Amino acid sequence: MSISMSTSNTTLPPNDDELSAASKILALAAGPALRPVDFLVAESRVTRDPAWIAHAFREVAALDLAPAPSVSGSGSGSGSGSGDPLAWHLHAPPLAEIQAWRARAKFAFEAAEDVHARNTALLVYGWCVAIALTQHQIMPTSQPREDVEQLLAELATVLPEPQATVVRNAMLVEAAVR
Amino acid sequence: MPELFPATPRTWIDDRLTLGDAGAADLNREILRLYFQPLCGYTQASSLRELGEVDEIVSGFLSNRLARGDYLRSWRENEAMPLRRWLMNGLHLYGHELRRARNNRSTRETSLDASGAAATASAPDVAGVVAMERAWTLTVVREACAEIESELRFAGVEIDWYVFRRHFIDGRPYRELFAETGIEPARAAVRSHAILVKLRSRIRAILARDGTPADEIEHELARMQRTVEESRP
Repeated sequence: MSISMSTSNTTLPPNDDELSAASKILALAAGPALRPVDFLVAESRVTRDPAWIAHAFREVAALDLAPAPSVSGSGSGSGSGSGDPLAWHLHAPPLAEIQAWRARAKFAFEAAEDVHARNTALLVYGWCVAIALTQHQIMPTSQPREDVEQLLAELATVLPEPQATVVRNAMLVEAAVR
Repeated sequence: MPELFPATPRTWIDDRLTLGDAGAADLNREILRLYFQPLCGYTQASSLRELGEVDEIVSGFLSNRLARGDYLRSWRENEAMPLRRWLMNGLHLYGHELRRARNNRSTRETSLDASGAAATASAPDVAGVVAMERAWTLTVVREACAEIESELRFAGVEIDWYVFRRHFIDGRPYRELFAETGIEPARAAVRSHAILVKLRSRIRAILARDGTPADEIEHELARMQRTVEESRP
């Protein structure tokens, strides 16, 4: 494939490779604007690490953000004060700790300087929402419900088990507490 | 994502129309960059090609019209027409003027020839319009790609453009490209999607600046894709 960058081939007809590439690019340009979660989905397609969530928490915890949530051991790798995030659906931390992580993730999302950092923050954010719903039956955010539903629906498709099941259950709780 | 184009692209043109010579120079460069090839496409496929070299006809037209301070202001007052169509109509009329001037010089008998020329100038050639739309579509895609590739090259990450093309255009998985480029699949996915967002933004900005209303951009993109597909052998 080659996209000609030349502006001098005034009357030369384009070859089929260029027409094919142009058609694909126009198809990519069409459609609704990409949502933040679409980038998370894109990254997830090549990141099938079961410990993905734990990595994301480590990255969010390591960020030099202010204000930092008052979570003990937040810089220790897996957040020892809150337990292992991967096991939150088994041993849920208090709602206040989940909310602290969610707030930190939101801050990290807004401060992110690249798409990977934003994806990481969004993953932590979504997991906190799912745990608050399944373990505390609380919708922990004032974000529009449609946005939360879309985030959970996409997370359920990209996370490995058993986290995907937790997120699906969160969607059921969200519908019930609405 | 940083936006290099203003949120309301037509404002960009309005601003330059009020900036005097510097604004006019900016605007003329923009016109040449985006519309020279489409206008050449029209000329090549229409009866205008009988008037001489394609490049010279289009250059003559743009020089003549853009020298008039009020030419683009006239387009701005005609909100309903995309700039490419405005220029194409102007080129068609310019061809009519050329014919008339040549007839005047050579025979001094203008009545029959001029009326014949006026008849052909009444509506742009259909084949010319099709050729112009195809050239316009390719110009939009080329320019958007060139701008992004240039930005990436300036940032020292031209390889990202290569990965984007290989993945989104050629359909190669990021894992395959890892062996070739050394870029981790996750990183490649993130960067390529960032490029995709920029590319969408650039293409839409060009269309908006040409005069496509925001609520017609999707329709215009679909039409452009059909134009390209119908051009394929």
